[in-house]
Amino acid sequence: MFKKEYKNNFAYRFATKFLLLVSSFAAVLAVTEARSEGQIFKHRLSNGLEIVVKPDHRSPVAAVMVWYRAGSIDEVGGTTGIAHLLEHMMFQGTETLAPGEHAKKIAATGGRSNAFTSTDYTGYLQELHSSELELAIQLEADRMRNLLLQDEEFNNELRVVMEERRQRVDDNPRGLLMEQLASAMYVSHPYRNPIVGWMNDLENLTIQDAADWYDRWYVPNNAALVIAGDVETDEVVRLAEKYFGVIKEKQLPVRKPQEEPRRLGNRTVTVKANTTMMSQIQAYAVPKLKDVAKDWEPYALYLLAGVLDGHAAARLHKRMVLEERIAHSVSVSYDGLGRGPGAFYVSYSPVGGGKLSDLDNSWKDEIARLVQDGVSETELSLVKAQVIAGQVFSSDSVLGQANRMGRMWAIGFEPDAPEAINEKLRLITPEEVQKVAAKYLVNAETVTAVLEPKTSK
Amino acid sequence: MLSNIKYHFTSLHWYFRVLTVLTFSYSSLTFGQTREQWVTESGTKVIFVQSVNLPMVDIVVDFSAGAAFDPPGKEGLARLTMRMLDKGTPENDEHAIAARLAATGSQMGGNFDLDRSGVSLRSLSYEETLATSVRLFTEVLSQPNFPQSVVDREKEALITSIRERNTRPASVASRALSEALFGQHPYRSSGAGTETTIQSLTVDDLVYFHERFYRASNASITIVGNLTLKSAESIARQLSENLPVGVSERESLEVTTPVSSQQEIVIPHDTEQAHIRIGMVGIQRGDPDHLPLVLGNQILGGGGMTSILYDELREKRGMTYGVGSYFNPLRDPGPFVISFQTKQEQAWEALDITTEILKNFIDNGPNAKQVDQAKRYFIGAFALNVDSNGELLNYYSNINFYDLPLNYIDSFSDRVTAVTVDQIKDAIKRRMSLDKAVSVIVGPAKLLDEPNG
Repeated sequence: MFKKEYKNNFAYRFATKFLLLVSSFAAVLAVTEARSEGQIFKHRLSNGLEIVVKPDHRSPVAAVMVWYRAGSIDEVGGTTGIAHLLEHMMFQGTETLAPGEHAKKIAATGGRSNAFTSTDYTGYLQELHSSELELAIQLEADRMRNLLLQDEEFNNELRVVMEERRQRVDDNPRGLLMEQLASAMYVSHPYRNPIVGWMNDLENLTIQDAADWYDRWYVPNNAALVIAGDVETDEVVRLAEKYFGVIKEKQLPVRKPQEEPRRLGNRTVTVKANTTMMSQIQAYAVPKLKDVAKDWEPYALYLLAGVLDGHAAARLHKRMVLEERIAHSVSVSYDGLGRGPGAFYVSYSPVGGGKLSDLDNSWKDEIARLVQDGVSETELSLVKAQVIAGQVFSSDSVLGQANRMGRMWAIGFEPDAPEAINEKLRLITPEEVQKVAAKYLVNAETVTAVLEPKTSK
Repeated sequence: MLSNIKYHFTSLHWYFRVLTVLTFSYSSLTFGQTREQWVTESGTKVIFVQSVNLPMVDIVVDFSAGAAFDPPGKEGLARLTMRMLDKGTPENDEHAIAARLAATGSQMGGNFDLDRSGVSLRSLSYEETLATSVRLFTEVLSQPNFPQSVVDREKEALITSIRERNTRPASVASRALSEALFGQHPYRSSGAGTETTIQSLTVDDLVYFHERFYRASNASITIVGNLTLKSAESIARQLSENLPVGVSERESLEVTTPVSSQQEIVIPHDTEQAHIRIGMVGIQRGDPDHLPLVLGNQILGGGGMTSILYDELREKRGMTYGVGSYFNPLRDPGPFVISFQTKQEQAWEALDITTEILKNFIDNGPNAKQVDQAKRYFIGAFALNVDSNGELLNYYSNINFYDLPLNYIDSFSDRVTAVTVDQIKDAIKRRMSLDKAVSVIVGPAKLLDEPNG
């Protein structure tokens, strides 16, 4: 929910189904295969390109993705939005393909193509009949090396991206709130900047900025080819060698850590927008997952979020929405899988004309209670039941499987890390959940963003 | 859970499907081999598709009880009824229902539209888990008891949502379009209701609506997953025989769909972008022009980043992030809609360009190359539309609900192949016209005063 991704294509809505590419970190943490039909296969080409394949022969389809470890976190002063803009440009032609032709070639087979940019990475995807595997690999290899940046297309996409910004942020109270929250959370770390870019930065981006970005990050040793579906690993490796193998590796720029300084007190930011509903989101600084085998706090934090808001009977919804009837909605999530800092969020909006302060009190009281009385084994087992079922449910889509592996790679873990993560989650005890609640949610320096109705003029 | 579906632990938030119009097919089904269709003794239609690769089961029960069945003055009743299902039964209050469901790891969900209230269950297929989940599912479908105080709370929540929705330009535009297109036909309302109609809803209304519309003979059950035909039969029987009985017909609307007439609606609103819609009354399920028209729409404004509207408004002019069009075929003729948003200063220009594109498309139709591409897209995309249990459930529940033949999808690619350019041109000419088109533009007041500004 909070690690937003921006897509290239506003995939059109037929009837009521809408393409929604929101990625919640929490989702990734919990979703893995309970029993995989095929093992995850890994291979690295001599130019550094990682290859990850998960065969799944249920249906004659394949999800073919290329991930680059480059997102808004890598942007430098005055060029916010360039990672996302370049993602748009990747559809605008290469030395041998006209603008838009990539998508047309995929569509001609009945396949779908799209892309997304997040704080931490940029990803490209083709979902198509498995007999078209070679086409997808060939097209991806082509644009890794031969992108043609042209003024007319660049200027046009810049206008498109500005419309995208207006749509997602400027005209969307929730979008504004999230943007302002991130800016208030980080004074130094680049997570403070919106993925889509600040409008003034967009206005001043140049085609040279795009070229620099492409040269810097779009190299095989900063990328992974990730495929799930009805494919054979030998064939994937053969095609990858054939098309990507000829691309030369290149030294990557040094990535500065840009660690966020410690918070010295609470911060609050207010956003006024065209809305009738007050709402608030509060962020706590918490550790992220670094070492899958040794860490335990991130798993406990994840389950803590689950105890509070992980299923229909979880504590906060029950208390604030159903019983006290003071909240219209409430949500808790833990964001601990990323290249940047971790965070724990709680957000809510009052029902009717209610006051936010009542909700604050209720939230604080619930945390105090949890810290004092702990969590029962039964209560924790309900959360773990969601994890276990989620492992199975999430294997239903090949695109989902590819996405999960690619994302793990992009943020620095093994593509099959989710399996180990799930095992660790099952071992977490009620006491550990209680401990992280006490350590990170009590007397913590928080950052709060409040959404208020704009007073009419 | 039906009102507040949570996916935190269970799935990546990837909804990538555009299951449009039940219109994709492929010659060989590689999974979902066993496929059966029957009617239960209580009169519920059932489709079962076996899919054994993952230990899970999906069930959806669709009732002909969508927004269109709201009694006049009681708009919002159908939606509130669905929302209240898991909020209490004689045996379990809402907390007990939620806790029991959570213990299984199963999920219940709701899918509400103009025609139907669809209630779904996703469960692991292990015998005990599935049995427990289905028991609970049966209970909430058949015995909701609508506690007064919970009803009050949920009404307040709906009213809060309505107020908020009224601030959103996209909602304002969509509502204005539906009202203009459908006149007095029930499709004019999305089923959200207004503050007044929600306020007027009573427990008796809910009891009435449930008794009348959640009948066995007004339902269809679709099951996909890792279970035997025998288990599927037993689950279907259990669900069906517990539903209210009553007359044996399915509910239908007894109103003729109007023909829309040309109109331009301008609504001032506090917004950055202008939201634009062009629509007309379109087609219904089973319409003989269905396939030619949806193929035509694929060329005009369909998915794949290849449509005329996408090319003209986005790729050539950078006017919008997303533009597209669709037919929404329903039991009665549903809407055809073009929609996009653009910065306010160019709203009128963008509307003019779009209207011109539409006019040109209606007058001249697509060319042979465009039709060939659209056909190949439809046929090729079939595999992607049935590549998971979730997709199969969607697909077959539509076939079930709209009484389409079970082999509808098997013959599909042949039927797509058979469509000619002339058939598409002819269908567009007969069924689409600027004389029927309603335009809606929602944007800041200062820009809307001067249509040529």
